[in-house]
Amino acid sequence: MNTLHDFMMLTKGSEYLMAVMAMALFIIFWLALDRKAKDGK
Amino acid sequence: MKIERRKFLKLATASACLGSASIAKSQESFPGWPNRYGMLMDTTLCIGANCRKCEEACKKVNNLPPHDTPLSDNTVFDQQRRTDPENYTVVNRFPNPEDPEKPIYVKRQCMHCNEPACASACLVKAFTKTPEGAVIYNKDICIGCRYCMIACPFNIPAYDYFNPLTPQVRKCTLCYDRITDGKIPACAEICPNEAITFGKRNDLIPLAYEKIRKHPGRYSSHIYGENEVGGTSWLYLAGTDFEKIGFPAHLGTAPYPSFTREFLSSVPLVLTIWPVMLIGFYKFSQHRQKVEKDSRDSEIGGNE
Amino acid sequence: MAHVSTRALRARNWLSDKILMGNSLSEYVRNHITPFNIIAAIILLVGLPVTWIRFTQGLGAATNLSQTNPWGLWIGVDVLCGVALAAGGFVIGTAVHLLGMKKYYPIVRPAVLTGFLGYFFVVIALLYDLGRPWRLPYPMFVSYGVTSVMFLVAWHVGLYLSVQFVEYSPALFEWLGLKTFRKWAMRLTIIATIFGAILSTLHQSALGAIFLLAPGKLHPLWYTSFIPVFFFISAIIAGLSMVIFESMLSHRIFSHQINSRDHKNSGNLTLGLGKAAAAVLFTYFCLKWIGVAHGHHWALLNTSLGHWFLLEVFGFILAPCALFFWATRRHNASIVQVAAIWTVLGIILNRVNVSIIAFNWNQPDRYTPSWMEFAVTITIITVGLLTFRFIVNRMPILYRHPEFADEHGH
Repeated sequence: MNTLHDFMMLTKGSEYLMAVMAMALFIIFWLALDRKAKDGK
Repeated sequence: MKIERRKFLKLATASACLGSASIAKSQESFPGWPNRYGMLMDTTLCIGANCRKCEEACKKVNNLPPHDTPLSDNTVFDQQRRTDPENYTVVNRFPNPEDPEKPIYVKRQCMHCNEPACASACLVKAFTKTPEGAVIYNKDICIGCRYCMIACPFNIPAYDYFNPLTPQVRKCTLCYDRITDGKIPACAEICPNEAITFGKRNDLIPLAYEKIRKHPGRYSSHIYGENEVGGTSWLYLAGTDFEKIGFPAHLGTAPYPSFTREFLSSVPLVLTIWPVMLIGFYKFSQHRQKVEKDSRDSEIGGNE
Repeated sequence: MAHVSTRALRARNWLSDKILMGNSLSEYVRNHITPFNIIAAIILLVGLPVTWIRFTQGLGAATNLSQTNPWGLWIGVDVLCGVALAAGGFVIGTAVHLLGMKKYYPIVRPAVLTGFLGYFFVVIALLYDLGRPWRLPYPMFVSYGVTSVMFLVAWHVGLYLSVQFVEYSPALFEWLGLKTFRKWAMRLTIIATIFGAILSTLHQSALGAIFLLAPGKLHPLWYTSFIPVFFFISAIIAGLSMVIFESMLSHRIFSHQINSRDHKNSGNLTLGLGKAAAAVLFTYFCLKWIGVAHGHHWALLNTSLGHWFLLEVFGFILAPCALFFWATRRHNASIVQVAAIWTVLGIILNRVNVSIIAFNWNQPDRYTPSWMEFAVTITIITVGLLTFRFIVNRMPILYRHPEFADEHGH
C-alpha cells in the first residue's frame, strides 16, 4: 500500500490509474452496449 | 598606418562581440521595457478622509464628470467602491487590525501589468503595453466584447453600458499623455502627503525595499505588485497583510498570458495534422466501400 | 384591361409557387393562423421593443450586466449553448462523408441545416451583446489580436458559417433549380466537411479555452487546463443529441415529407446515434473525474458548489449515459429520444455553470438575467425555429428532390 501511495505522490499516478480504469471500463461498457439484449424488440 | 589598423581591428572585434551578444540576447525572453515607469503607493501615508484629491485630479485630466458629493463627504468610505466609467480610481477604507483609530486607505486603479491580461485577451489588439509602462486603450477599434473585463484579475476595466453608440472600456491611463509630455500623473502630482511616488519601476523597487529596511515596524515586508501576475507597474507598501486591505491574495506570479499559451500553441498543430488525418479517414472509408462493392459485384457475377 | 408584363407575371408565379407554396396570399395567411404561430407572434411582439431599447439606450438598459459581471445570458446561453448545440452539422457530416457511415445519409441535410442556422443565429445574438456590433468584422479584417483565444473564435465562427452554408447550399440550389451551382456545391462537399471538422475542433475547444484567462473567477471544479477538451467532447455529445431531438420533431411535424423507407429507418438511425452518444458521454464522465484529480480538488466536492458539480456530472452526464445505454440494449428509440433531451439540458447546464453560476462564485455582486435578456434569447430561438420551418417546408431537406434523386446514389 505504501508503494501505491508513493506512486501517486511522485508521478501523479492517480490520473494515470484513472485513465487506465476508464479505458478498461469503456471496453466493458462498449461490449455491453453492442451485445443484443436477450429480449430486445 | 599601424595605429589605424590596430584601431580598426579593435573596432571590428568589439562590434563582432556586440553582434553576437545581441544575437544571444534576442534568444532570451523579453524582460520588459527597461525604462518603463511605475508608481509606488505607500498606503501608510494615505490620509483618505476629507481628501481624495487624487480621485478629483484624475477626473479632471480625463474629462470625467465631477463627484456627486463634496470631497469632505466621508460616507463614501462606508462601502467598498470599484472603478467605473466615471471613476478611473477609487480610494477605499479598511479597518486597521493593529490600530482601530487609524483605518487604512488604499487607492485602487489599473495596475498596468507588465504582461497585461487585458492586452492578451483583446481580439482586436485594443490594448497596448507601451514602452513607458502604461497600458493604453484604443477606442477606435474596440468592438465591445468585454473579454478584457473577464480577464483582468483586478476587476478594473469598466464599460459604458448606458452608451448605445460610442461605448468604451474605461480605465486609468497612467496619464499617458502627460508622462510622454514630461509631466507626472495627476494623482501623484496632487497627493498632499506624497503617498504616491512616480518614477522608473526599476528604481522604485529598491526604493521600496529601502523604506522597508529603514522602518521595519511600519511596513509588511512584501511589495504588492513586484511579482504578482508577472509584476505590475503599480507597487504598494502597507502596514498589514494585503489580503486585509482589498487586494486579491492568491493571484500567483505567473503572467496571465501564460494561461492560454498552451492552447494557442496547439492550434497550428491541429491545423497541420487534422487535414491529413481527415483525408486519411476519407480515403480509408472510400477504400472500404470499394472493397465491399467489389466483393458484392463478384458475388453477383459468381451467381450468374 | 391593364397589361401585365410576362416578367411580372412570372415573378408573381415564382413568388406564389416558391414562397407561398402554391397558395394565394390570403390562403397562405389563413393557413398560418395556428397556435404555434400565434405564440411566436406574441414572442416577436415582445422581442421587437426590447430590441429597440437595447440599441437605442445601450446594454445597461436591457440587461443586468455589471462592471463585475460583463457576460450574461446572451453569452452563456445564446453563444455558448448555441455553438455547442449546433455541432450536429460537423458530427454527422464527418460521420457520413469522411467516415463513410452511409446509413446516416438521410439526416445529413437536416443536421447541416440545424448547424448552419444555429451558427447564424449565434452571430445574431452576438450583435445584441457586442458594445459596437457594427465592428463585428474588425477581428477578421481590421486589427488582429493574435494573442487572444477570442480572436480564434471570431475567425473560426466566421469561416465555419461560410463552410456550413456551402454544405447547406445544394438544397438551396435544388430549390431554385440552379443546376450548375448545385453541381459545384456538391463537388465542394468533401472539402467543406474536412474544413468544417477542423474549424469545429478548434472553435468548440476555443470557447472553453476562453475561460483559461479567468483562474480566479471560475470555480476550481470547472476551471481546469482541460476545459478546451471538455468543451469539444461535450459539443460532440450536444450535436448527437440535438440531431436525435431534431429528427424526432421533424418526423412528427413534417412527416408528410418523409418517405416510408426513411420513416421505417428512423428508429434504426436514432438507436445508432444513441449508441454513439452513450459512448461519448461515458468518456466525458471519466474525463471530468480526471480533471478533478488533476487539480487535486477532491475536498471541494463537499461544498455547495461541489454538490452542484456532482449534480451536473451524475445527474446530467452519467444518468443520460445510463439511459442511452439501457435504451440501446432494449432497442427502444423513444427512450433514446428522452435521453437526448436530458443530455441537451445537461449541456445547457454545463455552459451556464461555466459562464454564470460557477463564474464569479466568490464575488458578492452576482448576476441574474433580466426579463429583457430572456425575451431576446427566446425571440432569437423562435426566429431560428421559424426559419428552419420555412426552409424545410420549401427545400429538399427531409426528402430527395425528384430531379436530383438518382445523384444521391441512395
